[in-house]
Amino acid sequence: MGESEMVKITIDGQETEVEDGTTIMKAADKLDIEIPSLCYHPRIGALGNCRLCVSEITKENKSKVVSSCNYPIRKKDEGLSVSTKSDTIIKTRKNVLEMMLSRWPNVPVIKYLAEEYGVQKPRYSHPLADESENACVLCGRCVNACKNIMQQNIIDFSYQGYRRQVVMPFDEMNPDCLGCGTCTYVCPTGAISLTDDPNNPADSELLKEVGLSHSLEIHTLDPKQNEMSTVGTTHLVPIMNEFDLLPVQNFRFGNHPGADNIGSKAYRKRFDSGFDGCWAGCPVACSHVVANFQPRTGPFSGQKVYVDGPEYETIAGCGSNLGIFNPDTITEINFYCDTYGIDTISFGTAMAFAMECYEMGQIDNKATGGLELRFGNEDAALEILHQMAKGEGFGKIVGQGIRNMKKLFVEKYDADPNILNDIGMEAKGLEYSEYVTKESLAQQGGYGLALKGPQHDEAWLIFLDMVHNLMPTFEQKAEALHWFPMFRTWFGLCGLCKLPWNDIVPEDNKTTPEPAKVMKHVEWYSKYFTAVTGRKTAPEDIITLSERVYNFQRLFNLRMGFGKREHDNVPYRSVGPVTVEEYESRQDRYDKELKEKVGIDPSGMSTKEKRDALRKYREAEYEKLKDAVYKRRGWNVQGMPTLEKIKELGIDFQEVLELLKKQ
Amino acid sequence: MTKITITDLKQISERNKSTSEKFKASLLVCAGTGCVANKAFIIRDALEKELKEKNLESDYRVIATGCNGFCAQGPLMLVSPEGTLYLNLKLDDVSTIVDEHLINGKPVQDLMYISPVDETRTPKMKDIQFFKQQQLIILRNRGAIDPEQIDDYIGRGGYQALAHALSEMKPNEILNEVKTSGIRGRGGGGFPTGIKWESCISSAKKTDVAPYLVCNADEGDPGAFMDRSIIEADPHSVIEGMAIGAYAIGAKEGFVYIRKEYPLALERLRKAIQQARDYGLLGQKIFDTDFSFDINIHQGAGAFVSGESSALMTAMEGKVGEPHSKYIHTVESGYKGLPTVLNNVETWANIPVIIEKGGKWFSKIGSGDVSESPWKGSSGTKVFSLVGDIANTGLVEVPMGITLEEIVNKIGGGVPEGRQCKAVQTGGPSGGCIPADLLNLPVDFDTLTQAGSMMGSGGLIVMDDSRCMVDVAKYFIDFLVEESCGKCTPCREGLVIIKTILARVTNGLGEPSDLEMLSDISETIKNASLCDLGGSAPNPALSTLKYFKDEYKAHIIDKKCPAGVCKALIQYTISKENCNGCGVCPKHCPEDAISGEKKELHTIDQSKCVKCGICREVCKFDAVEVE
Amino acid sequence: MKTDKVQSIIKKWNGDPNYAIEMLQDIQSEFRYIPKEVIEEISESTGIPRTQLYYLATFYKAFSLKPRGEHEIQVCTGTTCYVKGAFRILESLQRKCGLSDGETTDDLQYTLKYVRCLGCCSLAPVISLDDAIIGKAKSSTIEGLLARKVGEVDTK
Repeated sequence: MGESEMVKITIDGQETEVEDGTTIMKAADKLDIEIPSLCYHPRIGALGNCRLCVSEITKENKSKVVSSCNYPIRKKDEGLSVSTKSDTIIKTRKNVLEMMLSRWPNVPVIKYLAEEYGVQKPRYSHPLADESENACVLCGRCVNACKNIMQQNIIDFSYQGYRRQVVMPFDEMNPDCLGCGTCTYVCPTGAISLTDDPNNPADSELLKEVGLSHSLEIHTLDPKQNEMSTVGTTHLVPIMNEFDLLPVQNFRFGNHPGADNIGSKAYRKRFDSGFDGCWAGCPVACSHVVANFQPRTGPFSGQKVYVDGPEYETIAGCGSNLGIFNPDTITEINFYCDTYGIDTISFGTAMAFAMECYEMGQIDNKATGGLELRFGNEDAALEILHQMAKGEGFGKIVGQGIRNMKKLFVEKYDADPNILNDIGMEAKGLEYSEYVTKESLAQQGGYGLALKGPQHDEAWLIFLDMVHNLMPTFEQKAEALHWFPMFRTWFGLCGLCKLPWNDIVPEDNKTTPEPAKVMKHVEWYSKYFTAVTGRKTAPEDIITLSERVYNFQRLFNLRMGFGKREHDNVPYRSVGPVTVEEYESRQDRYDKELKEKVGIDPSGMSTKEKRDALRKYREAEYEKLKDAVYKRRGWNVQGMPTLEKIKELGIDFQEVLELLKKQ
Repeated sequence: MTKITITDLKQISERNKSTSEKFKASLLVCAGTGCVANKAFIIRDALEKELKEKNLESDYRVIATGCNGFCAQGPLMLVSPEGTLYLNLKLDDVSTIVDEHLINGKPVQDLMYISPVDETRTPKMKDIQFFKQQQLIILRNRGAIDPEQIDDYIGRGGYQALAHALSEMKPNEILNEVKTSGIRGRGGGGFPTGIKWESCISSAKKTDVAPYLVCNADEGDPGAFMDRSIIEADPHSVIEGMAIGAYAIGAKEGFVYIRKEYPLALERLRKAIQQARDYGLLGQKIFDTDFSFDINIHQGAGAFVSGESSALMTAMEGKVGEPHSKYIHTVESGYKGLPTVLNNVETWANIPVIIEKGGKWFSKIGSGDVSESPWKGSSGTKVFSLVGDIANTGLVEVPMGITLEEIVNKIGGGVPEGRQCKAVQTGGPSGGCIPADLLNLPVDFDTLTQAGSMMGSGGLIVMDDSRCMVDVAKYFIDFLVEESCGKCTPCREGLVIIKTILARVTNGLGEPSDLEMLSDISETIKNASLCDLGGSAPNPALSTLKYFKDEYKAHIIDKKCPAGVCKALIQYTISKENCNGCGVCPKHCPEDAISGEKKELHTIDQSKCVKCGICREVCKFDAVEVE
Repeated sequence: MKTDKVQSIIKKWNGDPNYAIEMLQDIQSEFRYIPKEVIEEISESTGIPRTQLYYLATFYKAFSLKPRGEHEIQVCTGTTCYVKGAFRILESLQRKCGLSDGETTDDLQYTLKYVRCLGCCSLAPVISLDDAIIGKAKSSTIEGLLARKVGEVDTK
């Protein structure tokens, strides 16, 4: 990916430098200069239809009026001066708004813009004036959204000139319409509505009402909050780094100066501006593509490929956790993992384990087939990945996962089993997701007590627990480890994405009693459920729905030999500092904990002694947490659902009873 | 048919010449659309029959040619090579010409051109004022060949330029000749052709693709028929020009986008392309070089907006021809997103001559000095369709820089019926009206633009003093309202609003503030529209406001239409002096609004009169008056 | 029958979506309108979206979604014809046939419409009856036109 050329221009007197091809609209946006538009929508791109976004460009004393949404600033425009507020521009916008207002006098978005520009009553009357409040203003967003986002041809323009209108052919219901609602979502006036939803919801009015509020909120707040629609989840990298939570070198550390190179700053430049959301109508659309990427290794070396990603987990797992801070290498690992069908989290965490074993001397370069498997060795990481896919060399061993590697390294290379168990970041056989949990007991439980293994989508409590200290008692932690996994399980049950729940939150969320739960959204979700199924559902009913399934899953684990207290154990690396070096990296914090919580005076103790004392304390705390959580979930001390619980949930089937009896 | 070589080309040319020398004369019957509408084919058939009956078939041959240009006097026949031109032919005239002229050797005086000045007859075409001041480059073969015979074209040196280009010149040298010529696009915009080609070559090189080449024959301007006539009269000149252009820019595939409403042109073009393919002048390895090129036709569905280049290219993909923003030019991203050179029919027809005679030769014709930059002048000639209130309507080709006065009064023979020229409208519907007192303006790209009009593709519509300029503006705006594609707000809504205001003015309901409002809205449409058509759409209003403000004021303040056109402001009456009670007007009046017995004064019942003007049209005694 | 004709038109243009306009032109001349089921059929056979075909069929004045008459009377309203009084002729014709622009007589014999320039400006004002062009037309003389049979307009 060659760096594009930069072009220097001025906008409203402010100098700026933009990449060749950037539109005036985007360049102005970066300078916080607002340009009005009716047809422009960031998801759809520039249409150039409404002509409200005009600006005046001047070069060598020649001025011209252009539309900002699609005028690309090219190398030839070096030194161009752009005015978004010249007299000509203001007058042009006023006149265009006056034309619109005369035709559609009651459409709110037009009235609003007209008011903003001081256009009152039009000087003339329009022969085709349409008094409707939700008249179609012919902006073309819906047509282009249908065509370019959904890749469908359901609606289009028809007729020429002032007769132009948006229709389905012959003004009849188009049988191919999926009812995706994308057009209704992008419409600025509400001119389109879903009349016949193929999903056949019980209460489509309620569904539309909640859906539109939700979409609108995301649309308005995402750009102000996390910009997921632009940078996806890469914004998490700098945040995690700041809070010491970004896994670095197999979870040894929580931050690194190189993190800046692999966060949103780096990927904002690399991501293609096109739409890559999971579902074409998605207003969050966090997924992004690196277009025309050229891998430097492997079977696609030198070719141009599209890479779907990378997201936060991939960046942390295949980047910082491996000591790699090169965004292009991370993109390449991402590309090959996708191509080979390998999970980036498992690959990253397993690779990190192998690297640490190599650095510690638990395995040597004979084992690795000559590869210098040190942290930060980008070529070696890629080589292992290719070997893994081919089923060759050391890659084949890493590919079997941490649980198998631990066994193999002990048997074959005489490695120390205790050390391997401490640093092998897996539980229930699954590799850890990419957050450092050492300083958050609740999150240790969030990982360790998750049914499928240490994966972040059951509970993510680090900020609540560690940063905001909102759950000091075991009971509070247990409550969280009940409610969150249940609520998140519900997303899985319904096939929904959880990002719209708590990655974009209402502006007043902080002032609510339980901000972490984002109760306003939970209420919306219960409304969604009511609207779709026709079963009146309150937020607490959602939890009950999940509880049945969640307990069933636990029982299933049990049947497969994984559902007891011992299976909820976690490697010590996820609980506290394994090595002296790790302890020292956060010495102040640990010393304080020993003094205040454990009741030991650390002064005069060696680091090793302090580390061991801390370990004893923290391991005991984790066990206490298990007890508390089991109790809240209605399980016995062995971590098995009790008979009462099973009866209460109505899942006391014969087979279930027999399974519990056997234990 | 087999592929021909460069040597064959010369032989065909010789053969064609010796064939024509075998005849005492060729009878060239104009079969342009105008003459065909006046029964030219019937005359041709009669002529052939007559020759056969009188056993003159081996002495004379009949050729139906493309448009001769002198449409006002059609049907026409030229006796070649001697050059006698017969006009306004009727079926009965055929035997007279054969007997008198061909058999007895006495040209028929009565069928020759009469000078309106001294009423003398002018036998030879070259001596008629209409033809005298023309300079033919583009129309070099008009009326001289059978457009359906490729050998006729070759006989007049056709395809020699292509042969020369492919065998003697490198693509770059062709580009240089075109650049030296200074030629600017004849489609209206006047963008220098050489610069356009050069940009296309460089963007094609950057992306390593073969560019496309397009000929715009979507002549959508009402009142213009240059491109149609060129294709009808000499389709091979366009094909040869495109092939040379393709060699210069490296194109492999070209298209002609032509209106389906031009059936004769379409048919001739289709035949010509097939003939060129049969001779191997299109297709693989032309003249056994590595150069391959072919042309396909796209039939346009007649929409004014489709003539805009980005719209045209969209229509060529089978989609509705709507324009796109052209901040990225079509030479970079045109047809199917690839670099594309688009020139109009007339531009392409110039190319073979530029290659044959050299860019320098071409650059000396016309106005300004283009030796440093093509922007500093307008080189070459331009074809105009000269129509409206003028004696000699027809198709003329004149050097750039000639004054409107010369075209209107000398070539066109002035405004007839003792009326005065009021304005000349140029540049198509979105051009402007140039008032009579500016007729001394030289006709070139930049002067016309400065005067608030534009060259456009070459329609010149002369209007006499019986035309109302507010009504003219309303006519053009009405046209543009219907033709606006509707994509962008200012053009779609703004034009409707201008139309409403103009309607108000012509209905006598205008207010003084309307003038200011008209120019204000026009300015916005001009500035903010998405494409050039929208950008120039308010010109009819702006140019008439600029030059004929008094006429607007008369409508608004005095509630009068000085030209007597706007129905709401006029009344038809019958003059006592002139009416002799002939009874014709009451018979024709569609509303039975005219009463009066024969031999008595007729009167019009104003409550019934719909002001259709038929009474005035049928009255032979100028008794119907407008006030 | 219809399907055969539609299929042969599609075949003529190789089913190439780039020639959608040409296909519709042929359909229009074959059926004198663009029937709904033909749009469906072209879409099915060529993959050209129905929306695109419908947009084309409504955008261009050459196409009609309603059957047009067997004969078409076109009044040229190009600039020259306008200058020479085309609208007077149009109004006379409209009065005479009782048709507005684009309308067709009940017996589907005649459609009256105005067009933008037939390119015979030197003969202005011009009207055309099917392929035949009638130059220097006058409102007072065209009245008899409708009464005459088409075949009698012998311009060829």
